[in-house]
Amino acid sequence: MPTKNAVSNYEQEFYIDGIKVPGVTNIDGGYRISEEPINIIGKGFTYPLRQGPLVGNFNINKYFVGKDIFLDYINDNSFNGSINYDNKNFGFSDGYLDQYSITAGIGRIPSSSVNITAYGGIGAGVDSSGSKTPPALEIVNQGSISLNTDGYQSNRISDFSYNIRINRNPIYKIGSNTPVQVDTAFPIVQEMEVNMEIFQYEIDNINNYITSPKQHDVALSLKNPINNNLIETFNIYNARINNSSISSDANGVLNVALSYIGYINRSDRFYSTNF
Amino acid sequence: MTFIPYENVPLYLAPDGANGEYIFAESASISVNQPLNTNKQLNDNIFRICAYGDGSNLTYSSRNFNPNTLSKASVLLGPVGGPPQPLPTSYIKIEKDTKITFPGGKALYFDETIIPNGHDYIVSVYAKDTFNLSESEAQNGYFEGIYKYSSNSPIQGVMDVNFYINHENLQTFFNIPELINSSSLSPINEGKITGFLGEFCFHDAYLKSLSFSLSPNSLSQASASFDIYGKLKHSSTVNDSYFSSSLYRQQSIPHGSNSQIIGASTLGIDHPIAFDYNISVDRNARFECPVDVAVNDNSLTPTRVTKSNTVISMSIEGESLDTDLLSDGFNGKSGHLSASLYDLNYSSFGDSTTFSENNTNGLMHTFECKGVITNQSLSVDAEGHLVGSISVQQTVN
Repeated sequence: MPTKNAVSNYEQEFYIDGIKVPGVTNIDGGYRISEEPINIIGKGFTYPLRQGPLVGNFNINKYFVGKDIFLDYINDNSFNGSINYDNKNFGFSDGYLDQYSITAGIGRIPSSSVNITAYGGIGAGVDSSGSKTPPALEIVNQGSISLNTDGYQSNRISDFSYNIRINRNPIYKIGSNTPVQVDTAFPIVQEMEVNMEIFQYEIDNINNYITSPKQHDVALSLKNPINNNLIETFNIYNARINNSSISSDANGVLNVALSYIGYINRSDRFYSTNF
Repeated sequence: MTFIPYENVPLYLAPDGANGEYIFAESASISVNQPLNTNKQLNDNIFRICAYGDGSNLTYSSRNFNPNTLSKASVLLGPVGGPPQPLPTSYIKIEKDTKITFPGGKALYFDETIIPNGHDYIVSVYAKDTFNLSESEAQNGYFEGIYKYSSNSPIQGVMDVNFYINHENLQTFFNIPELINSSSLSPINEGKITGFLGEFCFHDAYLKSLSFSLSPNSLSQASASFDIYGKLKHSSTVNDSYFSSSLYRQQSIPHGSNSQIIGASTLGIDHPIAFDYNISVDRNARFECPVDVAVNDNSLTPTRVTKSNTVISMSIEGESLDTDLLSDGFNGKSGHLSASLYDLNYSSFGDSTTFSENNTNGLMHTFECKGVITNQSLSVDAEGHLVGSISVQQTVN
């Protein structure tokens, strides 16, 4: 009988606060210890010593196959997570969501990626597995995604990406290795890029920005194509276009790429139920 | 002599008459300062011609200068009609060819180098151009000599050290005498230290101040400043066997991860995010006049350096401050802070034979400040938090 010397993908599970996360395609996580060499006069290097907190990072890529549980953490709440395999685990505690991205295009399932910074323990022995019920599987397709904004209802969107960046500000105190407080550093930045095949759309002259910069609300909705149930909406209120480009080639049609950016303030978040 | 890399420049300190220790220091500097002042007097720069000639006649006669025929002249210094005045003794030297400027762009030059001695009433000057010097112009000459300098306080050196606190070096060298090690409090020992920095030996160094800071998750470095009153000598015979780790006894460094600030909660701060400690003392050097004729080396070194006005101060930053301060009267609100320095407190450290590190001591030292709150502040900036700051100060002796 051959010896087992690797852990296959189907033998791994990823959990967040007791919920098995569905649709995960890739995880990488780890920590980095920041050490500073102690150099002294009369000798030179002596030994390195830790200079800075112990912080870990996890990056997760997954398919968007239903309501995404990571979106519950675009706030000041922390969470734990772990990769469990062969009765072992590698996990983190006191994790905070730093970035969430979703991309979609014609003919493919939307995919999302998540960046997490962990301020608590990282490594073996942190087990977040559990039996809580995960969100229902709902796979969207290109027909159940809609982008609502002014200007291009009659143009065809070929692909888009949405990204939300949440900077964290940990506060450490003397005598403690973990932060006493981790705050969201506002504003939270939202970015969206849209590529579309245009029919009627016309890009503004850049000089118009000088006298009348435009901003409007953008809403990206993902629905269940079977029952038309709304799964998630990503709103950017008062979004401003900060990048416009047009491209054409001999074998294709005219394409326009638009980039939006928006900001969420601390007070906005309490009045808005979703982003 | 070539530039010496820092690895070959140890700092060695020793209490007077005892064995010393190589200091776990990141940087050190020695500077020597000699405060000197010039002996300026009024009208030092004014060159007034009373008369020409040997001084037998005090009447000024207008004179034509010509570089070809009448270039040189002896002049009697002073106001017209007398009395004659010598060159000022505030100058150590007036060099030959020093320019004397008169109104109208006219100029004369000293014909010889003069070291003023208080009797230089007549000097020789010459001209490079043709001009006539009237009586009024001759009273308004201007020149610049080289001033004499004299000291107005002792020659004194300063040594600044950035180092890592350890048990032994703290008690022995960086202790404003006996305050840190209060169990052996003695007003007599004034803590003279000798040592060398690389090949430069110094004597009669006295600790002036010690300070350190603590930050979360960061190692703690201290700094100390010494006054040096003794000699500074270069000696290439200083033993170079110091290039050996075994000479450095220090194996632990205080760190903010485990160090503790005690007493902050009573001042309204539960989460200290920064801490500063400073102890300083005034040093008063007593010099004695030499009993023989001339100043000698011994008279340049103080016979005693006393200490006075020792002040300990601590400041702490955190999430709040003491709101009762303004309502507690004018005699100061007492504050008691202590800082316990810990290393990283490893339970073990791998192969201890190849590393000089162990960092397993845990508590390294505790510093205290029992005084009054002298300052509080609140501050906030964009993208930051509201931070309170409290300073406590204790005066000793």
